[in-house]
Amino acid sequence: MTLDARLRAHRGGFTVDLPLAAQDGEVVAVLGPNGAGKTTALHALAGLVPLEAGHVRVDGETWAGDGRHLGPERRAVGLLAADHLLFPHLTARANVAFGPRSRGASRREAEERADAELGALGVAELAGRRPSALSHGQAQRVALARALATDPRLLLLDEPLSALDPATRPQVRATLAARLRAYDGVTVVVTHDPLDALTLADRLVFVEGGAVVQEGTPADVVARPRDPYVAQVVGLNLFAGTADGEAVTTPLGPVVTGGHAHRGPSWVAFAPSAVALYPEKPHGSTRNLWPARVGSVELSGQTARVRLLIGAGRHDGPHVADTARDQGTRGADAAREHGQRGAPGQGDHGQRGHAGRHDGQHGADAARDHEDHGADAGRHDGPRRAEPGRDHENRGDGTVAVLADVTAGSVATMRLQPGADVWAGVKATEVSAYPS
Amino acid sequence: MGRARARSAGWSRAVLLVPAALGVGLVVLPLLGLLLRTEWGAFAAHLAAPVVWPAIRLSLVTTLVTVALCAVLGTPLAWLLSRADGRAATWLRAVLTVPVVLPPVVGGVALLMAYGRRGVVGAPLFEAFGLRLPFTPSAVVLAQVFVSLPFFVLAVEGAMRAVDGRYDAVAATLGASPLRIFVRVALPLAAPGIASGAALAWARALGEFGATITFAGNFAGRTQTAPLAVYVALQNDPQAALALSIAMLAVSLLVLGLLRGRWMR
Amino acid sequence: MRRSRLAVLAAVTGLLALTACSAATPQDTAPGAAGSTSAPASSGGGSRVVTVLAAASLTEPFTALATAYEQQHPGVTVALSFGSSTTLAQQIAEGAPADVYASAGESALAMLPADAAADGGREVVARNTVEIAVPPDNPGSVSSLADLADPDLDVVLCAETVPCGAAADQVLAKAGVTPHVVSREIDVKATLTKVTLGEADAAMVYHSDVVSAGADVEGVEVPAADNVVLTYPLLWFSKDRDVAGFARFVASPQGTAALTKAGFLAP
Repeated sequence: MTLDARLRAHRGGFTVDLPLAAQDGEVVAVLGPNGAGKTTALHALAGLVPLEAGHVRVDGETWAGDGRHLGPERRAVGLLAADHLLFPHLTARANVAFGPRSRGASRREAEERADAELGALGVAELAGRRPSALSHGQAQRVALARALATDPRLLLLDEPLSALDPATRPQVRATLAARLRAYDGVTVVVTHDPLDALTLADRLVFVEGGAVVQEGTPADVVARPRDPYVAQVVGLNLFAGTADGEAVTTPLGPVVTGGHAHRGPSWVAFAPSAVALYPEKPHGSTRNLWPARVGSVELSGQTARVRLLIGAGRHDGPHVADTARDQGTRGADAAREHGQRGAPGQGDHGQRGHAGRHDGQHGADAARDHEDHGADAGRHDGPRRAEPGRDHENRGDGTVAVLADVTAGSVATMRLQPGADVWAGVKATEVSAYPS
Repeated sequence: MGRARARSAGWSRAVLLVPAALGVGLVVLPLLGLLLRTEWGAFAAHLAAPVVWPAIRLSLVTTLVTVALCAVLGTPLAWLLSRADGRAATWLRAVLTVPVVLPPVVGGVALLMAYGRRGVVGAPLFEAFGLRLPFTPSAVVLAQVFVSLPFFVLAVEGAMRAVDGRYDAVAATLGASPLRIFVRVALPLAAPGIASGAALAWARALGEFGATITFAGNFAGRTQTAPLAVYVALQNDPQAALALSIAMLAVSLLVLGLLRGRWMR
Repeated sequence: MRRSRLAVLAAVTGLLALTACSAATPQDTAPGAAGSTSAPASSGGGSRVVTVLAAASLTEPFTALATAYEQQHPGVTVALSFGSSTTLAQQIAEGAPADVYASAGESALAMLPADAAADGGREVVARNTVEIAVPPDNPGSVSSLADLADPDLDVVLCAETVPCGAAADQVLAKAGVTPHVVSREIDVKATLTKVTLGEADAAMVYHSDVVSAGADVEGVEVPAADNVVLTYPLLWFSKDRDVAGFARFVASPQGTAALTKAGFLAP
């Protein structure tokens, strides 16, 4: 095991407690909302903040823990932050050579190494420039070259792409992904962008409030979120419930699935694109059917994301009516909030999905899809809110929010607008259930 | 309507212009007075007065040594202060600010109490080595450092503080020791601030009077700096005092002008 | 970078503002020179102020005389300012407000306009002689003028440009002694201070200064043959009742008593 760490550190009123392990060449993405303790964890790995408890071991060498604390300058780490933080008074080459020089290389060795690193990232011709003469994307590549020029065993990327504009982000992301594939050390990338995580990482670690809420391969996490935040990131409707032989009892009521073998505590997940909307109660084979009220509608391209409020099965009862009125304002908030989102699930424009489609391959598709989308409308890549995902769950006022993706045509023909009453249906085969 | 607006704009500009002009006058008029009251015909002769050159030379030498000491001692101090946030740093900063607000004469007395022949440090020095600081050029430098080091440290600390601390962090992860970070990152990034700090310290040292005359005394060629010479000459030879004042003014303008072109733009 | 430059600029401006406040003019900072002006602003109407500029060596007796005069003449405030005679004369010549001026020696009077006292008057109120002052334990074992030539001693004199310096130079010339001088202070009080602080082994000051310093210094008398006598002319610049009144009060037997008590010789 190359990296073996347990990070406990105190930061501004809350404690980060994070186990983290990785093999050679592995890229681990740490995801979480702002303030989840991601950067603190990264700085603890780098030695910039002291560990309160726990340890950091790399290749069997103890960097921290057991009463030991190596300063950052004595750890084989490379750090790349959102801002490139290139030294403004040094050329690109001197910036990259700074690390090797600091670690004892001769000036010539260091400069040769710098040129090689810059070449590997396709920016060799910029070696003589000062950072002020570089674009953001170029500067970020130079900064990556600088972080790698010291042969770190541990490469730490702190939101490496978040400061780039949407047009250059895909290119730098591609460069970064290619370079990381060739890198044999451990990479820990902190991000709140699911696309970064899905495209760069071998393993995802979701952190909330300083603790791990879910961990797994991108394919696993995308298919089976186990936390509302994770579900929000990967763009799925997720509910906690109790499984019996037939269905899973959730805040939505009993949900019939495509078949499940377990009983007891369970998660139920389905994609927004699996939700069909009907103006009247349909008489078809759809097993899961709920009366719902439209909370908000967000159109992007040919797809509309509809936020539904499902009121515990009573369509026209006074309870729902109250809630709907209440939702008049909340719906607007929610719409704004959704405008800030760019979850990958959004990429499946209008096509009805199927239960098995959340495999790794699909994740990559969705990512590409989303990428194009992001390039079109950069606003969608903006920072996400700190408390996401909760609206998939029981809202505590008797209603449950469900997201549905429908075509723009459906919005027109059904006149979907906040306050409209509809029926929402999900085929049993589109619902996956797994033990919690 | 438009006219009224225009008039009120003119008004409000006048309201600002009057105090501004008065402020300029307060600074410029005395300088003009210096130039106007000088007997330019005899200026060269007055400059040749025996007190003038030794005083200017002593002032230049001591202030340059002072600035060098400020830079050597003050820059690391400013760096450490800029990166420290504890209570100790706050107190240290407050203590270092004291000479800035202290009347220079009091500073001179304090220096006597420390380095004088009966001073806390001075007495043992005198008894052990017969070493006497007061009435020596070293005392002049000591007095100047006492009053100007705080200016230097506070100015440079501000500049160092403005250097993003994340550069330190990145440099550290690249393997740079704290010393290397200081030399290779902090110094170059704070260079303009260090230059203005040095200019400020130099200006303060050049004008030093109270602490110098109290601690170092007044002896031509040894401890009589230009301001002291101006003061003494004023008592019997005002024209020599004026000539010396103008020479100081010229030297100050020259040095500040050079620094400005080079560093402070 | 822009931020940092702004920060520097702010720091510089702030500090310059502070210097402007702390780095006072020479008159303010020179020890004993034109020291504190005690002129309490009187609130009641009809208060008259007599502004007196006097040589630094007159500090103690004039302070006492001013207090006495104020007690005898309610409503009159005597504002005192002490400094080197030449500095004060120069200030008067440049238009500084002054009703009465007392100089150590006659030389400084040359700086005043010839008709300065035309409206008022002039009278010698005291005399003084030069004396060597040493710290109480006399660490340099100074017993005569000749001892001052010892290069191991630190001797402090008044500046050549002020009366006590000129007087000291005269005395030393008469005695044929070249002392080992380390500093020429800007006035007699500053000169004496160097001895009271123990920084100098000897200083040449006036007899009155040695007397007023009390136990802080010891005096080593200079033989009359080598000594010079300094007269203290008092000038007043107007016929004003209070101005002339205070001047005559200083010249009166009561004034002379105060001056001789402070170590001056009667005129």
